[in-house]
Amino acid sequence: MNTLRLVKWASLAAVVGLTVALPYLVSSFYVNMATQMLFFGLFALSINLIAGYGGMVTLGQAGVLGIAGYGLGIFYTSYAVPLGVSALLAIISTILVAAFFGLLLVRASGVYFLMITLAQGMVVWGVAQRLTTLTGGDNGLRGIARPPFAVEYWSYYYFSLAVVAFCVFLIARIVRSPFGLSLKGVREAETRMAPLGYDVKRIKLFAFTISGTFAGVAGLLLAMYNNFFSPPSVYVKASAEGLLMSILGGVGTITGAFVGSGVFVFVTNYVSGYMERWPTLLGLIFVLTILFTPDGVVGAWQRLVWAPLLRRYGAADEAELIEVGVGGGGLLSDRDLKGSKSAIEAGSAAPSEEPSEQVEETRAGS
Amino acid sequence: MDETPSEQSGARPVLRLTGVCRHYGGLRAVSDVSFEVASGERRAVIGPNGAGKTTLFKMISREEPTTKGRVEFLGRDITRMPAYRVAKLGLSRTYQITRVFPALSVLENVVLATQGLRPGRYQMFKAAMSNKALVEDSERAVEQVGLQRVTKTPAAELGHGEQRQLELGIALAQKPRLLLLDEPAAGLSAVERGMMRDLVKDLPDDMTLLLIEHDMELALGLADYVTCLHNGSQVAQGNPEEIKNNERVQDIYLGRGD
Ligand SMILES: Nc1ncnc2c1ncn2[C@@H]1O[C@H](COP(=O)(O)OP(=O)(O)OP(=O)(O)O)[C@@H](O)[C@H]1O
Ligand SMILES: [Mg+2]
Repeated sequence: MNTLRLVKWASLAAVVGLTVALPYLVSSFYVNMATQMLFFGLFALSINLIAGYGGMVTLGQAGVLGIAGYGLGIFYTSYAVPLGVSALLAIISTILVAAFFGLLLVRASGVYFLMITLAQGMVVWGVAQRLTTLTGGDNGLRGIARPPFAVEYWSYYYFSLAVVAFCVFLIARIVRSPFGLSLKGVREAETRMAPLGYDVKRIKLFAFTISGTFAGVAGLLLAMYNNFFSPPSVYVKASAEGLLMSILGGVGTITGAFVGSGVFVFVTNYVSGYMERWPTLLGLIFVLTILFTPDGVVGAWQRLVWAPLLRRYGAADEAELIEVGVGGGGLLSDRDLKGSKSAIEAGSAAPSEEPSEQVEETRAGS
Repeated sequence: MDETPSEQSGARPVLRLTGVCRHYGGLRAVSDVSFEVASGERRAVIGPNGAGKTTLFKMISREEPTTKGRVEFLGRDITRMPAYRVAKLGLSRTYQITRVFPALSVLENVVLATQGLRPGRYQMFKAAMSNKALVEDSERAVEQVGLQRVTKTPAAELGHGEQRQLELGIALAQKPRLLLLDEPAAGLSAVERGMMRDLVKDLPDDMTLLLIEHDMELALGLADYVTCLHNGSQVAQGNPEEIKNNERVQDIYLGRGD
């Protein structure tokens, strides 16, 4: 157990160290890639919050991100509102819009739900295209500034890192909170929730609003990064990419969102310089992930590397939890949970064959 | 209306159904059912497949709208109340087909139930599983149904019998005033059925029970009073002895109904 803890802390320290030292280690090209990875990761994580933890797949999250991006651009460039205030107003607008669509979404399920999320993205995209006086139409909005203390590539990286780290901290708390547990409850057995005392619509509305807020923060970072915001950022393709990032990394995990965005940013920025058919490569990666590890890169890592390590150092029950639970049941898999066989083989914490025995024991004991 | 123990004792009934109907299009799944359940009573609802037993439960727990009639729980009209409010008044149920939270651990399943009735259930900043009072109360419910050795096991990994125990544990964790049990022994082996019967028998005396059971022997062994449904209608009521000797019930169970 101690060795394990050491490994855990050492790897965490290594990741933190590398993240902080990055601008001193590599060129601006890679630092910029890392910055993109951060805000796309936050975007993917915002999707993951409702899709991975809540079991509700959205195809319109880029529309929500767009409210923040356009909001910032419009307040700042068209109305000359100070940057900080513009950002605040943009986030407030995002929250309102996310809550508005949330009110529609809590009334729908299945295909209808998906259609509304799709509409959500299309409406924002359509408005962005048509309302040219405000949004600049296809030309987008230029002149969106970065904060004065974060103009350089490296200082903007640190700025994004701080913002995203804070958001991740909040999200990590939220998913472990009573609300987070209720959200997982909705994912696992929605119809069971109301009879247990939960107002399911309220849980969902909170989830959409919170998730939208984080997507909004990602939108602000994206707009300031490019000094520019335009319709492709809110198009359905952008929403789908966010969803795919979170699937690629591992649905229902926090690290997964960033692993997913990392792969995505690497392929779009780096591989695209060498390979004309990079979208095909991206597609191939997604297909292979879904075929071979439906719980994503993080899921594969946990099952193939981490769980055996735990088991080896005598934490079989923890290993079992990873093998079955962590991926959170698939978004795409039929929740036919993996690794159950090895868990039973491991024995120690595996369910007993004869449940009735246990009933008798308690009764005898009480 | 038929006489029930509650009327005899004069106390306010825990549950009162008045002319309750549920229609699915032209199908009358439940039609004109009326009865009262007194505090602490254990009542079985029996009847052949498709009699409308589960539908009746769904109307009481407010998972299905009531087409016609009135449902009162603890003296309050709940006919139009949202299900989550009814739960808060002290009503829990189990399902004929196990409805647990597969990817969550046994303890998390029960914590979700315990938490559902507490004010902090939508709270976002403290870890759910670090709430001592909540976890301890939940652990007690886990023990009550005999799952203490598998608290960390995901529900999906449990055997069928254990899932039925968890199903009951989730409902018991809420310490309901009225507990609706929809075939708690469904799919269990003979031995397991015995255990389940004992588990139900040992529930606190002040917990009012409404129990659906196909197995006549099991139902009559557990209940003080029995309501028999057939094609959505109430065809007989009485204590187990009366029901056993009721001609109409015998006809239905021997397939001579209609
Ligand atoms: N959602 C629904 N839509 C249409 N018909 C339904 C629906 N739910 C139940 N029914 C019908 O209502 C009738 C009563 O069903 P219900 O499930 O209440 O029976 P039951 O007494 O619980 O039977 P079983 O012992 O098989 O569980 C059946 O004919 C059933 O087909
Ligand atoms: Mg039924």
